[in-house]
Amino acid sequence: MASLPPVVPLRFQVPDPPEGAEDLRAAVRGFLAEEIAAGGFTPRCDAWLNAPDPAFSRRIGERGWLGMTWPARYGGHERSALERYVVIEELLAAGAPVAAHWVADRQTGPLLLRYGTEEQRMRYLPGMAKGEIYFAIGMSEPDSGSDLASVRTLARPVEGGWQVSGSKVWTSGAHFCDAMITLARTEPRGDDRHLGLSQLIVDLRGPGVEIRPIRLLTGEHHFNEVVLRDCFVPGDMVVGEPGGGWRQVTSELAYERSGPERFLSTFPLLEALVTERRESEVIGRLVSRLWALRRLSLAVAGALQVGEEPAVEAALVKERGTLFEREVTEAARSFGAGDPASPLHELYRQALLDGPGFTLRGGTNEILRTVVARALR
Amino acid sequence: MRDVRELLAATANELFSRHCTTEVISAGYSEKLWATVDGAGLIDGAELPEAAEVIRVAAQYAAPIPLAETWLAGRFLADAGHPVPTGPLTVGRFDGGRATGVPHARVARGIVAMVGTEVGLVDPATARIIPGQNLAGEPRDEVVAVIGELRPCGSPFWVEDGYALIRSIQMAGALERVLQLSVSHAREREQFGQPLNRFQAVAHQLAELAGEVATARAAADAAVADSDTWRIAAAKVRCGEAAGRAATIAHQVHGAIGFTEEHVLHHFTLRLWSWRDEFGTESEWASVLGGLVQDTLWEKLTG
Repeated sequence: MASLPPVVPLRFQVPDPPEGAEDLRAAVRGFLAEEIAAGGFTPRCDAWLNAPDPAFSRRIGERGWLGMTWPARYGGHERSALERYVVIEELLAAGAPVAAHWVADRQTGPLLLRYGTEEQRMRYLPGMAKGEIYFAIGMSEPDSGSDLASVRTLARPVEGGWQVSGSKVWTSGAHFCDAMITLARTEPRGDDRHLGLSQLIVDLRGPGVEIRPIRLLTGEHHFNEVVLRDCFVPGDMVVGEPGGGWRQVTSELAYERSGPERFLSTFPLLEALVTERRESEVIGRLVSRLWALRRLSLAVAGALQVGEEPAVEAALVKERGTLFEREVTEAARSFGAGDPASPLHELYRQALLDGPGFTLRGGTNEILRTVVARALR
Repeated sequence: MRDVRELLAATANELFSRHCTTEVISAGYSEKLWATVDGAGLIDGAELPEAAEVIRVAAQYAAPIPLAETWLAGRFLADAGHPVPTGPLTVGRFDGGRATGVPHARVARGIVAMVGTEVGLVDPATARIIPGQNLAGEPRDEVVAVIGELRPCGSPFWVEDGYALIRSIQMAGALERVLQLSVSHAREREQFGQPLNRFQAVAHQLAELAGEVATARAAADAAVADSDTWRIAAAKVRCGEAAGRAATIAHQVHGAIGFTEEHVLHHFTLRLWSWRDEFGTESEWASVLGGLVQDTLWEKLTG
C-alpha cells in the first residue's frame, strides 16, 4: 500500500488591511486626481524608474508619504509597512513620477535604519522623508552583473577613511542623486569571496566622481556609469560592519524584489486598455493574474513587517510579476497599440521599450528562478 | 480562526495519508473511505473557510469521494431551508427535469436540483441515472428525475459559481501535490551521475511550476475569503491556466514514468485537465471577469 506524504505548501499569509487603510487610500487618490487635473504629471508606464520629478517628490514628502515607517526623530511618520504599501501601490497604479526618491524611500532608508550609524541617519533620513535627498545604488560593474560578489571596486584604507577606485554601471539616476550606496571590496579576497565587501556612502557631488550617461535604446538618460578615481570616503561613511556588506546587500533583496513595482510597471497601459477596448476575455485573463500577484506581494509585505526574511517568496513574486508586466504589453499590441495612430500607442511604446529591463533589474529572472529552485531542493 | 483552519488541514492530512492510498485512488469511489471521512465529521456544518481547508487537502490526495459536492449540496439545502440528508450528496443544474454532468450522482443519497433560482431535492431512488465520466474517470452522470418542493436559493452563489469556486480550491490542492511530486522526483532521480534538480533547465521549470502553484493558491484563497463573482472568476481562470502549465511541466520533469498508469502523477494531472473545463473554462470565466472589472478595475483589486 503506497501512501502519499503530506504536502508542505509554500507559505504566503496575506495580512489583514491596516486600520485606516481606506481613508489613507482615499487621500492618496484624491491627491493624485488633483495632480493630474492640474497638469502636475502625465501618467506613464515604468514611472518609478523613468520619471524623476523632484518637485513631485517634495509634494508627496509634504503629505507624509515618504519615510512612512521610519521613527519620527528621523523625520519619519511611524506608520506600518502595510500603510506604506497602500500609498506606493496607488502612486504606481497612477503612473506618478516617483523615480527621484524611489530608491531612498524603498531601500536606502531601511538600510540605514538597520545598519547605519546615528550620524548617518540624522544626516540623510530627514531629507529623504521630505523628498529632497535621493540615493543611487552602486552594485553592478562592467565585469560584475548577476555575479555580484565578483565586484572589483576597491576601497583602500587611508588616513581618516577609504580611497575608492572602480567603476559602477547601470546606476539609475546617479546624475540627479546626492549619494550612492557603493558595494566595494575593503579587504583582500580570501577563500570566501562573500567576505571583505562593504557598503560605502559615496557623495556623488564630491571630487573623484565622474558620472557618464549610458543612454537607453530610446535615447533616454536614465542609466549611468559612475567612475570613482581615488575618491575619498570618510571612515564614518561605511554602512554597518566593514567587511559585512554581502550580508547587508542580501538582506535588502526582499525589500527590493517583492514590492508592487514588480508587477505594476505597465498598469497604466492595462487601465487604458480596459477603457479603450472592452475586449473582456483578454482583460479577464490579465486581471486574474494581477489579482493573484498582488495577494502574494501583500503576503511578502506582511512577512517583512513581522521581521521575517522572505527572500525566496520575494524572488518568486518578482519572477512572475515581471513576466506579467510584459504580457500586458503584448495584449495591448494585439489590440492594435503598435499603430502610432492608436490612442494606446504612447503607453504601449513606453511599456515595450522599457520592457527588456523588467526581467533584468533587481535580479534577472534566471537568477530568481535559481533562488526559488534551490529552496525547492 | 486561522488556528482552527490549520488544525483542520492537519487532521485531514493525517486522515487521507493513512486511508487514501494510491490503491484506493485507483479503485474509484470507496464507501469505506467515505465512511471514515464522514465519521471524522470534518465538514459537518462547516463554513466555507473551514470546509475549503478539507476540500483542498482531499484534492491533494485525489480522494475518490464526493466530499466537496456534499459540502456544496448541504450548503444549498440548508440555505434554502431544506432538511439535509446524511451520506454523500451532490448538486446539479436541472432543466426540464434533466441534468447532465452531475458529479457522483450514482452514489449520492440526495441530489440537490437547482432549477432557475430555486433549490429542490431529488431522491436518487426515484431518478434515472445514466453514468458518464470525466477524463479522470470521476463519475459525471446524467440525471432524469422528478424534483421535490422548490424553495428560493438562499446561498451567496448559484450552482455554477459555487462549483467554480469548489473546483478552484480543488485545483489549488492538486497543483500543490503536482509540485511536491515533481520536486521529489527531481531530487531522487539521477541521470548523468547527478539528481535532475542539479540541471538548470529542470530547476528552472520547477521554479516556474512553484510560481504557477503559488499564484493559483493565492487566487483560490482570495475567493474563499470573499466569494463574490469576480473573485470566483479570477480564481477559476488563474487555477485553470495554472493547471495546464503545471501538468505540462510535471510530465516533462517526470519523464516517461509519469505518463504511466502505474505512477501516481496521472491521478492529479487528469483531474486538473478535467476540473479546468468543468463549470466554465478559463475563456468563459475570463470574459465574465473582464466585463465585471470594466470602469472599476483598480477599485476592485484594492477593495
